[in-house]
Amino acid sequence: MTRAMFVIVALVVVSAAPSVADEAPISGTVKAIDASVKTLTLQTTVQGKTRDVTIVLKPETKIVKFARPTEPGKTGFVEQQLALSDLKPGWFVSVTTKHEGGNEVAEIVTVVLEKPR
Amino acid sequence: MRTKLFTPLAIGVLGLLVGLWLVRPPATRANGDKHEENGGHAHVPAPLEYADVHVPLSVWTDPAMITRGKEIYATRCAVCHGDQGDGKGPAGVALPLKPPDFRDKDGVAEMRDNYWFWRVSEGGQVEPFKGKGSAMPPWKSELSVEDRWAVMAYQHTFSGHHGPHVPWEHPESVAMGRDIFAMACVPCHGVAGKGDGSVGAMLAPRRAPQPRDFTSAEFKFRSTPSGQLPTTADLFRTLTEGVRSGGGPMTIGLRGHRIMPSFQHMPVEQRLEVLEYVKSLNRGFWERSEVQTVAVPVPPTLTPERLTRGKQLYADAECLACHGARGRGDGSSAPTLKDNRDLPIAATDLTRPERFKNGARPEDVYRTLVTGLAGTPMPSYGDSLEPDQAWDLAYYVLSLSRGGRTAEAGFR
Amino acid sequence: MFRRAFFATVLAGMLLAYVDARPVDAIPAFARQYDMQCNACHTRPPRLNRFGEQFHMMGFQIPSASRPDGLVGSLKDDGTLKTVIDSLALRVSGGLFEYSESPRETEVKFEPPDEVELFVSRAITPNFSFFVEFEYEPNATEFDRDRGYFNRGHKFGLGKEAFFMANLGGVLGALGAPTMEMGGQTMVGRHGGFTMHGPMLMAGKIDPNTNFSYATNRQLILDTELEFEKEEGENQSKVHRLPIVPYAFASKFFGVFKDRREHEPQLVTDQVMYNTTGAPGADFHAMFNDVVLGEVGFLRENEGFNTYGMVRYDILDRKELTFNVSALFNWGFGVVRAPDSADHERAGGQRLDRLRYGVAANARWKGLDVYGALIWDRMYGLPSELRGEFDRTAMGLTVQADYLVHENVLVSSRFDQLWAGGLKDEKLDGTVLTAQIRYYPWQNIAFFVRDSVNLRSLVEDSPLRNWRNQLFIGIDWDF
Repeated sequence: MTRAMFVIVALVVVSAAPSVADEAPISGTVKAIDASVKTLTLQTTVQGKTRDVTIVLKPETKIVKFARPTEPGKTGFVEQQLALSDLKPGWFVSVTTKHEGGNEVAEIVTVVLEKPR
Repeated sequence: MRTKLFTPLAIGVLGLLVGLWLVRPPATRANGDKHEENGGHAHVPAPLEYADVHVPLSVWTDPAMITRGKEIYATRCAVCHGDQGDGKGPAGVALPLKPPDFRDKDGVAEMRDNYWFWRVSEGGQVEPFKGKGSAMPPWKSELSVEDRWAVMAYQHTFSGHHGPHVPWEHPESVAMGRDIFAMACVPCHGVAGKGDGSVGAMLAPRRAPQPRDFTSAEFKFRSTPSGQLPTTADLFRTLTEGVRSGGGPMTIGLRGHRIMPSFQHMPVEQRLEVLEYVKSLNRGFWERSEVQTVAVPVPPTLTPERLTRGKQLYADAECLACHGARGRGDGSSAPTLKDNRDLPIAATDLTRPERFKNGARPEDVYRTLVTGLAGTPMPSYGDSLEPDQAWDLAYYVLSLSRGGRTAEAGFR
Repeated sequence: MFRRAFFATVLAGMLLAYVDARPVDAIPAFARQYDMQCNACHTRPPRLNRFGEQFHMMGFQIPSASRPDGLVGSLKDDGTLKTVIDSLALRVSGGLFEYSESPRETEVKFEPPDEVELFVSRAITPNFSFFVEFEYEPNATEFDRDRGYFNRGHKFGLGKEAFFMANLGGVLGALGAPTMEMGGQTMVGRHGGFTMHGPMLMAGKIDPNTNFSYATNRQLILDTELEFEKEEGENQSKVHRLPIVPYAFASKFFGVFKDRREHEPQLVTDQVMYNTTGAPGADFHAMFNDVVLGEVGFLRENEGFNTYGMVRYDILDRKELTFNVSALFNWGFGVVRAPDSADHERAGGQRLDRLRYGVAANARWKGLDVYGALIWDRMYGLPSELRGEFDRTAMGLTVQADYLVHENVLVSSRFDQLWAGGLKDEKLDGTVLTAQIRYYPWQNIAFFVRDSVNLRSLVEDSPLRNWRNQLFIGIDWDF
């Protein structure tokens, strides 16, 4: 009987444990762009803490923004490729990254807002 | 016997714990978390600056406004929020903090209109959204108030709701406030907020003051002109500070102690939630076209001349008819005074500023003179006194304080 | 020495309350702690109104608005002296004048108030609070267990209640139950769905009666004293007159005993579960969706213990009316002893179980407050030798109505009906009607005049019915 009670309590406690979260993109305001070393510094805020994150861009990194198609009658959004030099400080971007050699390496940079907020 | 009893009791308690854990009603915005993982609205009420901004009821179903909103939405919002309002715009899916899904009927039902307006206006630049890294831009500098209403009306169409987006259509939007109200407010204010709880009749039998009827148009403590409902900030002040007793029978040794408790220790957000519920009991808060407040100028310097003029005004404005020559609430009319429920009401003893229900700072007395106290015989002098005269009178009233307190004395 | 220290503390507290610099003074603890009028929580002290019941329910705190830093915050903001003073309250109660008629004698006496209670109560944290009563009676009637008879003398010690109250909602939350914080107080459940305030654990020396529709532990009509005779030098006492108490909650059985060794009788009017004199135990109560209160617990009684459950359903306030109804179930394991079958003056070897169940209701409308309880009792485990001599069932009905005729004047009337059980050659039913006027010159002090009338025929040698009329003038004063 005592053993059964312990098992019940243990089940209840264990099941209350929070689940592990998935990795998420990094979003933030563009603070600096270093075309020479191909890095992008974002000011990002997570859980109330603001910090700068430097992200490395590789040649295969895509930089995209979305706009309405210009052809009449077409709906939705079209993806437009941008170069690193097109990015401006103050823009808000979201970056999908992977860890590589201690760095955050960008896979896709999505421009969310093309102006300071 | 004891051992035999303990085991079933222990199993019963454990069973209760497990049962409570298993019986989890769906997490709602009022309870936090569910929608946050998917982005969008943490459960916070609109701050006071936005609490009074209610969308005119007709906007929600006005085809012209919805069309206008659709145009704005397509150019400014859809890239994140999606053309279908599903939060899956191409930029939105790339964000770590996802935009909400406006098709989520339950989620939209929990959003109050002032919260919604706040979000559109300030975006993710205010807490708690800023701290979560929200990408939402503030649109207040780019979209007029009507444009923001229009885009909200269009967004509303995604949810499948019909009719105006108001608490009496969506009671889940005030669920937390209702729970707080049931626990803390019903005994005095009654289950429907009509001021007909069981406590008032014994606390002040057959006399004023009685608990406020939130469904009526008459609220005593306001910063709005006579005949108008209070602001949310007015209600917040009353909730935070409570209401002091003005004296009356049976209160020797207790005068000035509160008849309505102070809820200062209730977290600010929960005070705002319960006030949203209180407001939902009176559609007038949604039907008023604009919220005007009485401007209270910076208090001028107190001078003997002001007191002299104030004393004259005290007589000219017939204050002494109720409050008496020395301000003790013993004027000739005092015994006949009745409130809006036809209950005897005492004229305030102006010599006891610590009992002033609407505050005793010079600015508070000024405001009371200009707004009046709705539901009581205390009129508004907003139309009959110039601001300078109102200050003269306010300072004179405070000079009546017993013990020679200065006009700067007094507290709420 | 402890008694002297107690009185010194009481005196110091009273002096401090009066010399306190603040203009408001000499008012009970909670009024001071929360800067509230007494009648915000009391219909009239000591009886609680609906807001006062919520306040008690949430551990002596404003519902949904607990001070987040609790006692520590109070010490920091208000200082030690004010915090201590605000935690104390003193109550002086009892008769000043008594007039009683019986065939035996007509008694007139003047007496000082016979009970002084010091309350110490406070919330330590939003989820933990305590309430302790110390009681002093200069002329207390007690059964002297060493000597085996009733005696009078000074009595000082813990009063009726001394307990802590803990909100266990947080514990359930730690175990995975959905919870939400409302003003620092943990609630289980979700807004818009199932909600549970609590469960609150009340443990220590308790009377769980506060949450019942008829809450006898905050009575407006005070219990009267047991009158007994004991000759000097004699080793026995004779009960002369039983106290007037709410019969619904009384023991109700003639001829039973509390214990074997001392043969202390359990008088027919003794307060037992669910209106105790305060007994060690633990009580769990919780409010579900703001309308249903559930309560379970266990409480010591004599040599045994009680388990009980109670459910109360509230119809929330509207049109100045509030109404609730309660049902109580209680099983007392071995709580009394049957009389010895050979000598009914002595306790026998058999302990009896008691089943108690009942209903109560309370309606408050404008200035009228009506409440009543009907309680049935049944004894189990009676020795076969006593079967024919002992009535195992009993019932009690108590109905009271209070009406505020004027802000300062409360009139009350209580009807008590006892259908007694126990030894058939002793048992008698009782019917008492009590009327009282309380005059409150201020919220925290009442002068009362009450008269109780025995509506049944006089029975000269029955302590229950050997009187016709008892009149008291007294005071009930809270500092």
